[in-house]
Order: sequence, then structure tokens, then C-alpha cells
Amino acid sequence: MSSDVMQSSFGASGTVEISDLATYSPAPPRAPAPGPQKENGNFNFIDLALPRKIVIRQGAICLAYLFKPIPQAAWFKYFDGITSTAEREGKQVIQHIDASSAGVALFDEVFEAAGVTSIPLAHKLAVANVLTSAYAPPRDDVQEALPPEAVRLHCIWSAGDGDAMRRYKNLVHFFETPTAEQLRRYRRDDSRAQIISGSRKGMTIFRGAQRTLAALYDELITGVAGYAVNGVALEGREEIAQHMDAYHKVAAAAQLFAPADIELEEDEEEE
Amino acid sequence: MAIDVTRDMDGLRKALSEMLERGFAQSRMSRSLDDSDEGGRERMFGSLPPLTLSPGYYKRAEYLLWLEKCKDGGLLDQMGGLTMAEADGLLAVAEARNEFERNHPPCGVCGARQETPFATSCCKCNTEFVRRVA
Repeated sequence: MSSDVMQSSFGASGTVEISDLATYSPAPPRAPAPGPQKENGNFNFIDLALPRKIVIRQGAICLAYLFKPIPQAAWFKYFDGITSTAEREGKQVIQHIDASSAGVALFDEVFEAAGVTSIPLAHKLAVANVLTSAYAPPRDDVQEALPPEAVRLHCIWSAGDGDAMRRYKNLVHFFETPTAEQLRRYRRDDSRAQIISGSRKGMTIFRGAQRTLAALYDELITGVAGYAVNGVALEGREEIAQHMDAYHKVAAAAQLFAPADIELEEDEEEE
Repeated sequence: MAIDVTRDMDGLRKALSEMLERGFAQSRMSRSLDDSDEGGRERMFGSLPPLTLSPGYYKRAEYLLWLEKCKDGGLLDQMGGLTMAEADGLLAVAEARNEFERNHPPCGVCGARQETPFATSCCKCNTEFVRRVA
């Protein structure tokens, strides 16, 4: 993604916008928007066509980084850059996941603003954390039950009014039940690994199944709630597959294949 | 040089053997676990047969054992064709299972698998075994 202009302006709130959006024009509005509801002054859905604005507070001023929608190919590069390793030390298995290098590379890939020579590493890491903030909430945080093949995500997406970053809750992805073949594809690709420095003492590098998860998402998704494109609720498999952020695809599909929580009752401790 | 786990059949066979042995030890242990205190449980878990290979082998081995179950359940036809690595992996499962079954033959009376092939009586029903000499 390239750009040739950096917009920089001090807003009324003291926010400096650093943007590569000069060359970006969102798709023209489609059918009239159904009138998104506002909640606490913010729209209660994510508009996937709009630029993402990620605000970092630095002393008295805020810096706002603006991003075009991140293409799937850039996300795949990010996933490829994550190193997930495991090695045996005696009876212990030491696991290590490093996504920060991949996060910095993602920032460099998708954010190119001419004239900006040095963006602090801490900002890149913070922005990457926001871009990759989608997660499935713990069961205790969820009030209402969903159909069996539905997945709920929370995430931080973009700054709302007043440049405050906002957590979006209860974004829902509805899926078809995976077939045996789809489950097998996921399990097969999730079990791929390479070993370096010998089979016994060597380190396992897991290759990850994110590309497979994204493909399975496109095959299985039937509907979403909490997402829109140009103010229109996102619906239909093809539309969703085309517009959905690939990180959200992977986060949601991973939950679809994860084992469900079980209710565990602990024995009371003996006095 | 990096080893591709999906193609290292010797490593996978060893990982599968270790997992089968460990599963056997765990199933024998499960009866006494309920009656043990925390320290006893730790000692028991510590005495399980070790896993000696890099962790990636066991994740792949788990997948192959699952694939074997699907095959036994007649589900493979619905799952598309096998890749070469999966076919080789299923052969590795079969070899590891044969070895396990040789090392832990079942009692002819109650079916319980024995600790060794040289047991003189069943560990569960105490049936005396008669050794046939060829």
C-alpha cells in the first residue's frame, strides 16, 4: 500500500493526525443506511469501509494514525511473520510466541506516509496491538447465549468521538457447521511444524493455520452482526468474505474449531 | 537443516509409540488417582513414561491418531483424499500400534492389556497364563 501525501493537522482536541489516506477513496455509498444506532455517542457497529483511526496519547497531545482497510494479503504476511515455537527442557515444554516483530512489519507494510521518517517503535507496537485486538471474550463476560455455531468477538477498532479508543463488544459471526473435511483440513494444517537442531533437543516451529482458517471462514460464514460497509449492515456470504477484516476472520474461525468451555466444579478445600 | 515433521516418519513413529505407552500408563493410573493426595498424584504423573522428542511431533501424532479414528469410523470418504504424508502417517500409526500391542498383549479372558508380554498372570482378573512353547 503506497501513498505520497501525509496529512498532518492539529484538531481542536490537540490531536495530530498522521495519515496515508490522501490516495484512498472509500467505495461510494450504497443503499440508504438503515440508520445505525448510537450508543454513548458512538456507532455501535464497525464500518469496514471507513479508515481506522488509532489514537496514541503522548503527554499533552494525542497522535492519531489513520489506516485504510488492511488487505488480506498484508494480514497473511503478518501471520507468516509470527513465530510460535516450543522446545523441551527436561520434562517441561517451553512455549514462546512472538508476534511483535510481525506487528511492526505489518505497520511498516500498511502505513507509509511520505515525509514521516521515524515513527517510534513503541507507537508501532501499540498500533499493532490495536490492529490485532480481536478476541473471544471469556464466558463469564457474556450475557446472552448464541446459536451453537456462532462466535462472539470483542475488539478495539477505531477511535470514536473525542478521539477516545473504544472497545466494541459482541461482534457476532454466524457459521454453518463445519464438515468432516473442513475439520480435517484445519487439524491437518494446524499440526504442521518444522524442527530445527535435531528431533530430540530441537526447537519446534509451528507453521500456523491462519490461511486455512481464513479460507474456512469464507466457506462457512452465513452472517455477521456488528459490522457494516458504508453504513449498511454487512450480509451475505460473498459480501462478508470480501469485506471482513482478515484478522477477525481468523479470530472467529479459530473459535469455531476450539473446544467449548466446560463447567468445572472444584472440590471445596478441606479445612 | 530443518526437519518437516509431516515427512519424518521415524520421528512420528517414535512419538506415536511414546504417546501410546503414556496413554496406557495413564489409564492404569487413573483408578488409583482418585484415592491419592496431591503429593501422590504428582509422584504418579512424574513416573509416566517420558516424551523425549520436540513438541511438534506430538501435535502431528495427535492429528494422525484422530485421522486413524476417522478412518476406522468409515469417515475418510467424506474427508477428501489423503495426502502422501497423511498416508505415510497412517502407516506409522499402524506400525506403532502393532508394536504397542505386541508389548502389551490382552488377557484372553477379560481383555485387559498386560504390563509386559512376559506376564504370568493377568493384572486384572488374575487368570494364570500358560506359555506355549513352539
